[in-house]
Amino acid sequence: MIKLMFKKKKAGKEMIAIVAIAIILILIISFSLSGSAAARFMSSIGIEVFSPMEKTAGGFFSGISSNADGIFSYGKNMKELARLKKENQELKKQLIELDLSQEELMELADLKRSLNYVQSVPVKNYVSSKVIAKNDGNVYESFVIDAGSDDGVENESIVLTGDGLAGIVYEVSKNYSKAISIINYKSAVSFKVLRKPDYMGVIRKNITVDSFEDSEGFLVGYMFDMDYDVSPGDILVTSGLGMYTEGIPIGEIQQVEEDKKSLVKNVKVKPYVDFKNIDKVMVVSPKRIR
Amino acid sequence: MGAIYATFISLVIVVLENSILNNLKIFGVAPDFVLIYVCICAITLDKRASSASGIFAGLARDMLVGITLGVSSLFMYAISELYGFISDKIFKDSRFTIFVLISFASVLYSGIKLLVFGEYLQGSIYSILLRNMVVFPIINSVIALPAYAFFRKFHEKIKRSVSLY
Repeated sequence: MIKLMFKKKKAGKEMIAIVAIAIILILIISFSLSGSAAARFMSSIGIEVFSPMEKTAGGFFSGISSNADGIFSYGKNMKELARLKKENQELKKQLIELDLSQEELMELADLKRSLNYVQSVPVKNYVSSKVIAKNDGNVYESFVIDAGSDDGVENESIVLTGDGLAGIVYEVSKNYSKAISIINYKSAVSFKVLRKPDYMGVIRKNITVDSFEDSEGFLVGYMFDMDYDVSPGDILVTSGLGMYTEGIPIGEIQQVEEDKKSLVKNVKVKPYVDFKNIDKVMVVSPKRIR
Repeated sequence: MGAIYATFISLVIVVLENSILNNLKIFGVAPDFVLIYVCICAITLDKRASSASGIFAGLARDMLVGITLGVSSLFMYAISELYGFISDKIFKDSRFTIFVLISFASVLYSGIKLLVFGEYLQGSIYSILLRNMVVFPIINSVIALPAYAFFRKFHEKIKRSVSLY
């Protein structure tokens, strides 16, 4: 009898503990969903504690894999080196030409200032950083980079790779930051067509176009006007509207589809950034209006 | 003591998974080593140890690469409680049992992630369902079989060494 009572009491205590833990976790989820500072603080502590270990483990692994890769692709790497040398020479020539036109730009900037023209601040401050951790990648893509508030990274800073726009920072700790890729970011990205800057549109997360067969790994958006003559192969860059600085390469149009009901032209865009292999990134401060 | 061991191992797995193992994809899917380990803990260790490993591993994952803090943690805790509850009633030597349990946990976890992070999804619904509800559970279950054999022995050792103190 006493044994049975003891057992019942123990089971009751266990049940209370289970319910209490579940309530605490549900509260944590609700704090996080509401964007509370406490949840952010908790996350930043976790990032600060675990990220150095991830950095070490990732560095060790990438060291081994890159050395192995270097040995097995020696011939390929030599060809790549020759190609890069040639590209470097061409870029140097272009740089000289750009320097020459810089003077004209300065004159225009002076003119803008004298007319009190409201303009966005060009990208000046950036931080180079390395991706040290990423999520399991089956549902959404987020990653941790080894630069934080001490390096000048702030919330909603823009994350770029050498290929183009990669994502946006959404949580910052002292030495590390968590970023989310544009493929999965809920906010819209305003773009323009490089060949015809008047043609503008927006990339949104919640667009589903039936005729776009498997759009996984692609961006989907629409042009503001159905009359815009865009075609596959057109290069898209950020328009400068919204939080992204103007002129960041996004990707190339892969497919175009007219939506006669909504009077827009839907576009499927292949991003320049290979989201499966992001290694080094550049973090740029969010755009500010002066 | 068992809880400390299990939590420590699960945190090490979280760190390794985020930095290395997530890059190793099989059929475009990264196996969930943390989920596998938490399930194994729930089957082979006592409730306190498996719950602790589930809660802390889930929280660490949410803090590091998750979007909403606590989602993984709540799931891992629930699954460790559920499997802890049934662990005395199942035939633990059967590989089929382990395969089914890991598959079930994976399907459930994928389902919750699809519900919570549905807005982040891209691609056709068929490929999403195939990857998350079929390929992901099968890969996890296949990996779980040797992992279970290893950790079962390892946890026995831990239990014995804890009982010595």
